[in-house]
Amino acid sequence: MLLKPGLDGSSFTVFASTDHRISAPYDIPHCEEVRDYSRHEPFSVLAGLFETRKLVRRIKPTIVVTTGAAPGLLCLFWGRVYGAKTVWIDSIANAEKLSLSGKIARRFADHTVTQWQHISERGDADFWGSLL
Amino acid sequence: MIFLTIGTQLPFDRLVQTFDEVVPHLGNEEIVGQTGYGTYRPKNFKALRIMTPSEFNATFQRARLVVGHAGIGTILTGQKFGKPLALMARRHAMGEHRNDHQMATAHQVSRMTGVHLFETGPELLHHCQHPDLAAMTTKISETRDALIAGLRQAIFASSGPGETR
Repeated sequence: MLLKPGLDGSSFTVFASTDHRISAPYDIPHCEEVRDYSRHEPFSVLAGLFETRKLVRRIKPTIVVTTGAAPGLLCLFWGRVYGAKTVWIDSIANAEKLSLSGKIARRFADHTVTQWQHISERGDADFWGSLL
Repeated sequence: MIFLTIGTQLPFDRLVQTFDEVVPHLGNEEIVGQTGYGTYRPKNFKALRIMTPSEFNATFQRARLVVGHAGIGTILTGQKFGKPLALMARRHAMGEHRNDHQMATAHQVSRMTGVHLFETGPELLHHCQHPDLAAMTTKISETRDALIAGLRQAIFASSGPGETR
């Protein structure tokens, strides 16, 4: 949500989250909610694969930006499949190495970004800056 | 008022118990707790298991000190409202998280103004009783501006998508 200024100026922005209440304090007219799961829940991931595909096909984004985790990764994947520009921004919580989701995103995303300079120096991801 | 928050995802009994043992030394100060779904129930203060994001923000804003885990949500909110934070990192070895990333986060943020780490009750009490504990700065960092600029560059640049690898 703190990245929102980076998106202002696009014709419209859709915010998808696993908890729609997160958007309440902000001025976000269009919010979508998706289920939450981790890679340890294979059936939920499978259901999420269909859910995020449906969402991406309905919204038809030109750009997908996500900080993860699993649901965000699937949205990014479908974004790529349906021709959107894709940006993975690894959560700042990953201060030691790129997250597993980030390592997967790196294989197909247009941009994979870490928020820690020392991680980018290993060549896994770009460093632009950090929310902190 | 002191606000204890352990985040929304996982229980953190060690933090709740450590804080619970400190509370009797804090006089009549108001305590608000958000303690999640752990098994330890605090004896010395009332706690909600979860809060809505709006309740969370309102309570955070009202607190003079926030005691929490070394989670990014807590740290970013501390920065947003300019509060002092007393933080304990979750440890993988104690079953408190899926890995030790909070140790790494705590190490990285420990040099920020307003972030006060602790491991024990006496250390936490020291932070709670400190007469002018430094607060986080609300100035949006240059690195955040740089991240947002990088994002704008990436998505609004007219040239085709660049590859990171």
